[in-house]
Amino acid sequence: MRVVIAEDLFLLRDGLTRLLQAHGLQVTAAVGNADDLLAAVTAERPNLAIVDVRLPPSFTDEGLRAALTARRTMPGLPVLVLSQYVQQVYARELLADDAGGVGYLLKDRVLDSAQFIDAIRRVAAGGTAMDPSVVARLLARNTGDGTLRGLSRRERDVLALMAEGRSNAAIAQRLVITESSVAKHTASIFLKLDDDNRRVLAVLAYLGNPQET
Amino acid sequence: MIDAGAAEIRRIERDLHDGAQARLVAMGMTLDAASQLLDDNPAAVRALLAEARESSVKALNELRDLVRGIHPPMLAERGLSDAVWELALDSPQRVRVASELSGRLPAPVESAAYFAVSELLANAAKHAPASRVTVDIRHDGRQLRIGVTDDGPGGADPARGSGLGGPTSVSMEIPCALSSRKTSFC
Repeated sequence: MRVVIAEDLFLLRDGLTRLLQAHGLQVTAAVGNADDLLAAVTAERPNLAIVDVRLPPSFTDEGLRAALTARRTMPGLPVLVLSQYVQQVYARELLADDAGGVGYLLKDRVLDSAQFIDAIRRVAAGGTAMDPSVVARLLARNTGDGTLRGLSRRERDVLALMAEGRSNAAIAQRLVITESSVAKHTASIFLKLDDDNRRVLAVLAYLGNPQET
Repeated sequence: MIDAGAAEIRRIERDLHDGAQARLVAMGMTLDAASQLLDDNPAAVRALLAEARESSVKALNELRDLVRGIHPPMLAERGLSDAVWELALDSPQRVRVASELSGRLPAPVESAAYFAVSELLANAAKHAPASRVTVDIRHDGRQLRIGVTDDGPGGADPARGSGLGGPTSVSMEIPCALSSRKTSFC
């Protein structure tokens, strides 16, 4: 798998590169700003771009904007966005094009390398890797207003892992239950929430419940 | 005002001292203990390294919470509209945000307006949890105008002194300039 990294802090850029290489991934470019990212992505056509939200010159959201631009010019380019903070607004912007292949994780998730590499592979394969803290905030908000009141505790656990982008097999392993009971819970959740079953995007769209004007 | 600012800075110092700094010290000690056990007891080293990693995650979480309270990242990165939108997405209530800001405001205004709206949303969530809230943000060329309105059917109890029996509306006006640049200014 060929990966391009955009991270302005040398220590993190270097650490990420080593981590990926140690797991047999090929880092074809490791750059420190948004322009170089767009150039590298165009030239290398990688299987995945890993991008820090804040990049020079203004250190606001250059990285996120570059990631969204890259996906507009190369539809479906898998992008994993890393940040010191995860924000609902950015999660929605990343998921808005409905094309899949999107990840949004806190930077500390790299400390658990097995989980992190799993997230990388999932996103590169067109799946989703949403940070558990984004999902937890969405669930907390929607539990408060009653949207999720009808769900059992177990169903909520399954819903949270599903919203992070995990497969039935991964959910079964995590909750120490069989895959068929995951499938049973999933069916029940969708029955209770909505009859749309486009998995993660459906769940997030449902929980996010757009209200903008 | 100055007293409040000084008290706030003392609180930040205390949070750093008791939180992230203490965790970093503990982490250093754990790593030191691990290096001494390296030859004799690899199993213990593994446990200590896991503990050090755990400490680093906790320190990061504490620093994040602290920063959110001082200057929310979304305010720094995107400005008032998106920062309020982020608040709305985190609110247990249904909050509608209508913003017509086309640029960035002076940093002190962004900050003051953000924390005022944050407080009003928290109040609405407490006193009228079932209500729908609308936040209206606009700049008329001379001043920033913000209105926060809730439709108020949320079961507030005037007998308990909450004083919020019906729909409530709060508006603020702050004279200031609007800039087209992407970062805030002073």
